[in-house]
Formats: sequence, structure tokens, C-alpha cells
Amino acid sequence: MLDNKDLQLQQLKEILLNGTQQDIDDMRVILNSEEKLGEKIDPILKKHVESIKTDFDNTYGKEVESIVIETLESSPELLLKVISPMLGRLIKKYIGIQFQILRESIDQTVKKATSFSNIKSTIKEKLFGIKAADEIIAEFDKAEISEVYLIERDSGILLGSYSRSNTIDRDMIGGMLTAIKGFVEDAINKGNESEELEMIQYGNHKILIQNFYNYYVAVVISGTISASMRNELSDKIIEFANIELSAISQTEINSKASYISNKLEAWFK
Amino acid sequence: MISKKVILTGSFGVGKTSLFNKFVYSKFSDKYLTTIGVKVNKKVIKVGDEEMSILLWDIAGEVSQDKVPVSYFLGASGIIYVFDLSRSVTTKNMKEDIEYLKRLLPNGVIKIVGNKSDLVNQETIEKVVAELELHCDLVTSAKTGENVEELFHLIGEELAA
Repeated sequence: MLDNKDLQLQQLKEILLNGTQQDIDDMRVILNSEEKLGEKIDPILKKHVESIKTDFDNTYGKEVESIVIETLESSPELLLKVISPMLGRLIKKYIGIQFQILRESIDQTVKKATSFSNIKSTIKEKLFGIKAADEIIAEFDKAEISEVYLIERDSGILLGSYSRSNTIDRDMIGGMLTAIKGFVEDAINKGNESEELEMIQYGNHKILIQNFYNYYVAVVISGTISASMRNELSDKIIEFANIELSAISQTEINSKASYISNKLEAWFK
Repeated sequence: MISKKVILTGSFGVGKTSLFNKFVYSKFSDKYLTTIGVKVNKKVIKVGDEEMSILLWDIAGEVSQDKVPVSYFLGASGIIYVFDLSRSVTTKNMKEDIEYLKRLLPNGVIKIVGNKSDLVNQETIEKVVAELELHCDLVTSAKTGENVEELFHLIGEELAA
């Protein structure tokens, strides 16, 4: 039996906690019923999942990136596993280019030693002091960059361009080039994503394509381009991307067309 | 000016290219459609005070969308799925096609459009639209131009939002 003091305390608790007790009981009912709890929580979860889906990059992009970098740094084996297929392809490609350069060099040497022009050049060099090498360099100078495009990889949206002449709408060129590239890669690769279109040739023109993760650079060249020149151009494009584009975030790149176009002109004019 | 890639797709013979040509002055020959299955063009539209460049990819019609090279859809912000109001067979794979496209582009804006309204009467239009399993966003006619500009502005406004 409660004594007087306990009774007073009980009455005081009932007076003070009357509304709160009802709330606690209601909450208990909700917590004990999966269906009622679901009604309350599901819309909140759904809203949260939707916000993650639509804004994942902004909300968690940096954290995910730092986790990936940390994981790769702490596990060289994992890093090797990730990059080894890519490295293999790069080495294969590099060896191929080097062989092509060597072959061209041998061809040129043989041609040079046996050609009429070489004999003529030698005579000219003896008589007038004009070196054969200068003439060969002049020959190479014929190759000329006429257009450069930086294009978003999947959408084909033009991110920037440089052209020596007025051409048809450059946005459409970016789109069609991406469509052709996608078509060739889909049709020939059959799901093997590792190989990509790197060159399109028509007549005396070549479109060299340097692929990056989110975008690609297409360079239109007129004239003859040797493997070594192609190699140099490829290095230049990579250098351009490292210096000019690496600081621009993926979300910003779509709105920097004039900046990128100016940079392309400065690098490739 | 922001740029957005929009895909125009659907079964063959539904009038996608006619809608495309009605909306933009086509600078590329239609032969691209038969050779690589896509033709790209651009139109700048005004959305509010801003201009938006729509890069429109007209994809050659296939019976179902999984026959189209996946790369054509990648990076698209919007999809216009066209069917022919006068041929119910063009709605046969619509549900599966839309589900497939939603999987490929979970954040893409999708508009379902019934074209060739000039070939059928109002009663038929209402019947066809009511029988669809999915909501038809707009009824158009590439021939008369009915709702063509409205369609691209509608999608432009959603893409800008």
C-alpha cells in the first residue's frame, strides 16, 4: 500500500505526464507494428534514397573519391589489379607505335640513300650549302592541324573547339563524331569496352582521337603524318589535358566552352 | 548556354525523322540513319531567360530498343519515345522499351508522344491514348506541325528545372 507521500508523488506524475504518457503509448503502438512504422518511415527513406540518387556526386563524390584513393594507396596489389589491363594495352600500343616509327625510319633511310632526289640534294648541298635534312623537314611540315574538338564522351556535347576555317555547326560535328565512334565501337568490340576508335581517315585527312575517361579529343589533320609525329601529337594532347583540364571539375566542364576553345587555340594553332 | 542531349526513339515508321526535320533544319543527309542508324542535329531554344542548345539524336527505328547500340543512349538527358497513333503495333513494346530506357538513364526525362494525329480523328486519338499502359504526354503531327514546337519546349523546360 502506498503511503501518503508516494500517493502525492503518483498524483503529481499523472498530472504532469498526462499528455506525454498518451504520446508515449501512441509511439509504442507505432514501434510495435511493422505496418504503422513503415507508413511513417518509408516516405522519409524514399525521399532520402531519391536525394542520394539525384545528388550523389555532390553529396558523397569527394568522400567516395578519397576512400577510393586511400584504398588504392594502401593496397598496391589492388591498384595493380585495376590498372594492369590498361597498362597492358598501353604497352602493346606503345610497342606498336615504336615499331611503326622504326619501320618508317628504315624506309626513309633506304629511300633516301637510293633516291634520285637524294643524289640531287647531295649535289645541291655540295654546290649551294642546302642540307637534305632541311628539305625532309619541309616535307613533313605539310601535315597541318586544321580542327581540334574536345567532346564529352557519352553525350557527344562539344566542350570546346578550335578551327582554322569556318565549318558546319561544330556542335553537330561533335554529335555525329560521337555517334560514329559509338557505332564502330559497339559493332566491332561487341561489349569489349577496352578498345576504342583512335583514327578515322578520308582522303588526305585524318581524324586522330585521343580518349580520356569523361571526354575525348579529336584532331583533324590534313597532309601526311608520320607515326613519330602522331606520337608527339598524342603526348601534346595528354599534356594539354593535364595542364588545362585537370583542374576543371566534371560539373563545370560543360559551361567552360569559350575558355576551353581559347586554350585549344593556344595549344594547337 | 547549356547543352543537353535528347534522344528521339521509337518503333520504325512512327515519324521520328519527320518530327526531327520539322523541328530543326536538317543539315545532315538522312543517309546517316540507314548507314549508322543515327543522325544528330542541333536546335537552340529559349527556356525562360536562358538559351538551351538541344543536341537531338534521331535514332533509326527498331522493333525494340534493346536492338539500338547502347552508346547512342549514353549521356542523354532526355528521351522522346514516339509511337504512331494510326498503328497500334507501334505501342506493343512500349512498356518494356520504357523500362529498358529508365534502367539505362535513371535520371533522364522521358516523354511519350503519339504522332500522326493528322491521320486519325479525335475519337481514335482518345481511344488509343486511353488504352496505353503508360501516360501519353503529347499528341503531335509532324505533317501539320501540331505540338511539335511545344514538345521540344516542354522537354527543354523539364531539363532546365
